[in-house]
Amino acid sequence: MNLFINGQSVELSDSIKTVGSLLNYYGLGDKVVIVELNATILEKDTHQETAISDGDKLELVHFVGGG
Amino acid sequence: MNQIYDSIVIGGGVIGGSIAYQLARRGQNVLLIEKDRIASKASSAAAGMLAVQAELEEENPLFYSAIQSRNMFPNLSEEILDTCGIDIELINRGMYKVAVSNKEVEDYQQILSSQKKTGQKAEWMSQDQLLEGEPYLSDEVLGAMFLENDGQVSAPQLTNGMIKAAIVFGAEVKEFTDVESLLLKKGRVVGVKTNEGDFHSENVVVTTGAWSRGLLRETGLNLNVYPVKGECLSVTTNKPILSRTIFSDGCYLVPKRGNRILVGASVKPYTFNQQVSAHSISMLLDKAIKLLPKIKDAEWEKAWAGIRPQTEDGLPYLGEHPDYRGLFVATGHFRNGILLSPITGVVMADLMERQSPTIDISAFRLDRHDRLYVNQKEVSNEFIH
Ligand SMILES: Cc1cc2nc3c(=O)[nH]c(=O)nc-3n(C[C@H](O)[C@H](O)[C@H](O)COP(=O)(O)OP(=O)(O)OC[C@H]3O[C@@H](n4cnc5c(N)ncnc54)[C@H](O)[C@@H]3O)c2cc1C
Repeated sequence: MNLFINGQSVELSDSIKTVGSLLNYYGLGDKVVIVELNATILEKDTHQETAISDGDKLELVHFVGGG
Repeated sequence: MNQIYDSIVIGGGVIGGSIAYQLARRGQNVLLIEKDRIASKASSAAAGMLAVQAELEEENPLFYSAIQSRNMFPNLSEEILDTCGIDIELINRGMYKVAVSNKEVEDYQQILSSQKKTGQKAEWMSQDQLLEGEPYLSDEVLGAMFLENDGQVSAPQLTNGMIKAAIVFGAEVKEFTDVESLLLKKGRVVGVKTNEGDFHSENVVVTTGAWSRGLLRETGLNLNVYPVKGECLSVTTNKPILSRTIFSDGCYLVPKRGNRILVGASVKPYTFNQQVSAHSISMLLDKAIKLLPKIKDAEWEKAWAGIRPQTEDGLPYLGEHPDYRGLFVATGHFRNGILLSPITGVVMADLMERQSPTIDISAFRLDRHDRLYVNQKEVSNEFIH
């Protein structure tokens, strides 16, 4: 599956089917992350079940305790 | 018109500033070229934390260089003040890396004991001890690593200070001058081409931060530097409500001079867009209020964004171009460029003067990704950290 994450084309395994599993893949599963899917900001409690598919455009912003 | 400089530094951030300062101090005739204003990009956006022990793991090839760099600040601070009158606002009161869950308590205690074994200063503070020193902290904070030697500076003051001090030592600075390409001849660099004309030198160092890739592509070097946007905000209070930096997973609070508190930071890879999003700022404030509820009473100051130069393997690029003699690169310092600027300045000045640097820089070679790149897919999930 091919996604556009923050404008970058990224090839990912088809086993990643939801926003939740994508965040886990990036090690962000337990972090506060702002997720925008195809120009709509998702409510945090919908990340787990929101489905993603080939060609989707995502914007991800997370937060760090470091510079 | 046809002046030949001993060295040309491209980029007026903290890294270019530090190298220009070292070279000028050693008597070189230096030209620093910046396409915007000096200290206007990542180096003015940074929180200025000198967070070696709070941020870097000991296995990281940067750890001991970072310790050395951190130790250079007290002298550097005096030198800059004496040379050009700029105070870099070094505050050496230490940092609390705070735990808000039992898992963090356990993890941090483990890190603490391994850091102590290698001789670093680190102490565990219970919630009671912590609240004694920082009475306005929330009781959600269960304890903290106290890292006495992780200080902080004002990042814009440091960057300006190094460049102004370089000028006192004879360096020339050209702002609003864009380096369009490198002048190369028979396997060596001979100068740079800018919108203001050509400038000549057989020693050129590229310190253009997140913007470094394009300039070097024409030399056949495909550096893997990419932009990672970060947003921050600041507030002010009438009376101090925080005395030391609070470092937590997902948010930091840095008390600056004049009762300012700086709160950071967001992370968004692959964008050069410096707009600040209201959403990010509201998330940051939420986190800050959780740690320090009294920050609600503070007065809003401002918010801003900067673009960190990240690399594929998270390590900076420091060295000479494999194919062009005299062409040097120092970039990719990601979230530690302020901390690493003093050591980078000295190491690069050594290389450019054909002396061996005092630290091992083999992990930072410019051509290391030739090997790293065998399987790009494997490293692709690193991009977001
Ligand atoms: C929100 C945030 C918080 C941070 N907090 C910390 C922290 O607490 N501690 C820490 O150590 N680090 C921190 N950092 C990281 C630090 O800011 C960077 O690592 C550091 O500033 C990088 O410095 P630089 O000189 O490489 O880049 P920059 O400061 O971006 O400088 C590069 C310069 O090159 C110029 N340039 C680009 N192309 C050209 C060209 N073609 N010709 C001429 N000039 C050109 C640019 O205009 C720019 O001024 C933080 C960063 C951010 C964004």
